Order: sequence, then C-alpha cells, then structure tokens
Amino acid sequence: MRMQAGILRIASWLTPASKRGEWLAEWTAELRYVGDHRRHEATTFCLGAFRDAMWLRRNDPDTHPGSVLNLDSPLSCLVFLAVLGAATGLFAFRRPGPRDVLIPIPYRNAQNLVMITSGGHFGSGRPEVTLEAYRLLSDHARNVFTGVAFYRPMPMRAGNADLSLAVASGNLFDLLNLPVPFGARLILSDHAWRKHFHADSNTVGRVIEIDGSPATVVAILPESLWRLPGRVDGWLLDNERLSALPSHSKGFVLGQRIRPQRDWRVRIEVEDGRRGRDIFECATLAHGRPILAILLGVMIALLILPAVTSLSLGEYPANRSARRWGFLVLKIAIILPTVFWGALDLGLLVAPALFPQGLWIGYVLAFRWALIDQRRRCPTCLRRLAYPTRIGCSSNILLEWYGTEFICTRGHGLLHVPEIPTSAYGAQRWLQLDRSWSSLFSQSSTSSAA
Amino acid sequence: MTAEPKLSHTAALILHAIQAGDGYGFSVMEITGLPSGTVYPAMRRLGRDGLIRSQWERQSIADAGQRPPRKYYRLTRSGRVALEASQKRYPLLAKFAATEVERS
Repeated sequence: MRMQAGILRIASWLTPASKRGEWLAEWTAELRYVGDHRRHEATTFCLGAFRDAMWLRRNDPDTHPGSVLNLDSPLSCLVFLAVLGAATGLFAFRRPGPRDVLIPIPYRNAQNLVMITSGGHFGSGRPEVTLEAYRLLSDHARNVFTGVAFYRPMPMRAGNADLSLAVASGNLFDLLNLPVPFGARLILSDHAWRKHFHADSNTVGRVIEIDGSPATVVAILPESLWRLPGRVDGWLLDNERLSALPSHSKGFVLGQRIRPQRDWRVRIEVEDGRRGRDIFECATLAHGRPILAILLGVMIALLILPAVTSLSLGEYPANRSARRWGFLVLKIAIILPTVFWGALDLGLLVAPALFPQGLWIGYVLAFRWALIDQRRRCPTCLRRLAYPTRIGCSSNILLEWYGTEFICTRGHGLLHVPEIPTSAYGAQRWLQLDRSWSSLFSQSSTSSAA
Repeated sequence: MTAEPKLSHTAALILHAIQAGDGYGFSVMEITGLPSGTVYPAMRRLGRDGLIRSQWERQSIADAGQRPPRKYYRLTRSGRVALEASQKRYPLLAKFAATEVERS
C-alpha cells in the first residue's frame, strides 16, 4: 500500500495547510479499511482523494486560492503581470545564455566569430575540444578560418592568490579584436582585480609569478567584454605553457571564419591521414535581433489564435470602449516582453533548439488568456465580473436566449453570454444598469469583492 | 409553510447511508456504491451546511483494535429533518439503501 499512501500524500498538498494533517489522517485511516476489504480498488479509492482535496481547497474560507492571487481589480492584474515580467526579465538578463541573446555581442567582428565544439557536445557549456583536435583544426581548416584560438580554464597560483585562469593561445584576444602586447601576458578580469589586487591602479605592468613562471599583467578586462563560455579570473596568453599541456586536455575553441556565416550552426569535417575524419560543430556568436523574433512569434500566434478562442470582445456601449481598449493594450504591452523573456529562460534551460516553438506557443496562450480575461470584465470599473448564473434552456433557443449571466459586484451592469451564438444573439452583450439599481447592491458585497 | 431543505438525490442517499450504516466514509461508499471522489466531498458539503457532524474515534479504542482512529459522521437535528423531507421526496431511498446494507 506504499504507492497508495504516496498518492494520498501528493493529494494532501492540494489541501489548505491548516487542515492537511487531519485530512491526511482521515484518508489514511480509510485506506487501511479499503485495503482490508477491497484491496484491488485501493488505487481508485485514493485517486478520489484529489477531488476531495480540491473541494476542500476551493471551499476553505481561510486559505482560498483567490485570496492569494486575486486578479479581480485591473490594478492588481497589471501589477501581477508587471511583477511576472520583471521576474522573467531579471532571470533572463542574469543568466549567460539568455543574456547573450538580449545584449548584442560587443566584438566588432561578431558575424565572423564561432565557438567550435566536437563530439556532439554543443551547448554543454563545458570544455569539450581536446588540445590535439584544436591543433588538427588549426592546421587543416585554413580554408575556412583565418584564425583559431584555444583556451582552457584551470586553477593556478598567481602571486599570493589562487585564481581560475584560462591558459590560452596567444591569438585569443586578437580574434576578439581586443589587441594586447606580444609575449607571456596576463589579463585580469575586473572582478579578480578588485577582489585579489584591491583595485590597485599599478597592477598593470607588474610581473606576477604564476605557478613558478613570470607573466606581465597587461590589461584589466571589464566584465561586459568577455562573452565567451567559461567564467575565469584571468587569461594567460602563453603559447609555450599551452604546448606543455597534455594533448588530451580539453578546452574551448574560438574560430574566426573567412566569410560571415548566416547559419547559427554548421558542421565542419577535417580529414586527417592518421586519425581519419573529425567532425566539428560551429555556432556563431552573433544572435538575431530580439525584436524580429518577437514579431515572428506574434505573427504566428495571431494566425493560430482564432482557432483556440473567439476574437470578439462582445457588444458594449461605445462610450465604454476607451478604458477597455486601454486596459487591453497595457496587458498586451506587458505580455510581449514577458513571454519573450520567459521563453528564453525556459528554452535555454530545457532545450535551446525549441525556443522558437516555445515563443509562439507562449504568445498563443498569453493572448488567449488576455482576451478571455478582457471579456469577463466590467467595462465601467474593469473589475472581473462575478456570480455566473445559467439562464434559460436549450429548448427555448428560438423564443429566448439561453446562456450565462455575469454581474458586476459594484452594480454597473450585467453581461449576457449566449451558449450558442445565433443571428439574433451572436456575441456577449452588456446591459448597463443606471443608478436606480444601486440599492440592490449592498455595501457588504461590494467590499467583500474588493 | 415551513422551509424544507432541498437535497439532491445523491446527497439524500449519503445522508441516509450515514444514518443506516456505521457512519464513516468507507461504509457510506459501500452502502451507496458511490466512488470516494463523490462521497467525501459530499460529506464535507453536508458538514458545512450543518446537516452532519464529525467526530474522531478515541485513540484508546483504536489502539485496542491495533488500527488508526477513524472519523465518524452523525446526523444533526437539521440533518434528520432534511432526511425525513428527502424520504418523502424520494420514496425509494429507504428501500434502496436497506437493500444495499443487506447486500454488504
């Protein structure tokens, strides 16, 4: 009965926390009797617990979910969307993958630059290319690349500090169009300079002993200028030290193509007489503009939207339309970047290749929600309508309308939503109530809905 | 004219099963033949409306039987009134429930 007990425990998470213990005790006790008398029905019995838990959750006055996420008022709805947008945006701008898409690459020749991987490990964010493969590539792919650079992050002792330094080929910063003097050179990150060298302005030009060999600090690199994989405290451009590494040492490889490559990913095959054929994958550092991705996602979503919801917003008095349209436009304006950032976060977290699909699916769902939410709001106060009531019956459709009636808790009017659109009653219709109806709406109902 | 509480057939059946049976959830399921996903929410609804009340079995009784204590449901005064009214409205209710009790 362990599995059934597990089902009950999962269902118990749906119940309000204050009643969870008692609820679980009752169902667990009952499960014991079901196990004794009808063991084969125990799982079905436990699945019924989800309905009970949901009922308890919906009807609990203390912890009703509506009180946690109440989007009734237009302001709370917009605030919720704004907070959601800020959270997804913050997450996107802080993570390396999405940030690279959002912020343009600072290198002038970004169209020509590619990160090269081998062994089908593209996008892993780990060093995957061996030093031997890098040498093979730099020797045999001169018809494709004007230059290929290698760097391998590793812990090293620099002066009195333990740093994570990238031992790199001498041309790494030349390929990035950030030229530095020739020789064994150390470039410190701005973070490491502040943390380990106390932002000393005399650090540049100093000779520091790194694992027993001297290297001159030639520059401090601002954080925004390093956009390649691998987070390090500095870069040691030293071909001699690189050649001393074992040939199976793995690192990152940067290439500069002869011609700009439009494709985001391409495959390169290199023939080697001794080892046969090596296959490398190249991904360009230059990403497309976010605005184009948003426009494409919105266009696809607009094509699909009529299939998943009605585009009609209903029949309303003309003088009520300005506020409603303003509210809808605000919602859409917040949704556009929010879905883009959310799709970036989720896409690059789960599967980067699925980002375009995630984007338009996100827009379809978000636009559908925006339209449905818009149709259920009072045109005067823009609050969510309440108390849905079924009116009429289907057999009376020729004589009378039937469908659902909603009411504004502040007494502004009634919304009639037909069950089946007819020529006489095609769209939902708003009935504005004048002040003479206000006595029917008590202050208590108004305040409780607020 | 007195206002009689109006119950659905299912609610009336459960009310009848609580009175006729042992008064815990599983016995109501056995008498009515209804699934757990219907019986337990319905009993909570009846409890909320004041037609039944629940009470946990004493721990000493459960310990003597080497089992966990169970929750028993009983009809309140208004529950009995509602059941009587429902039996007038659904005359086959008592007969159906009695048959189910005999079978079980």
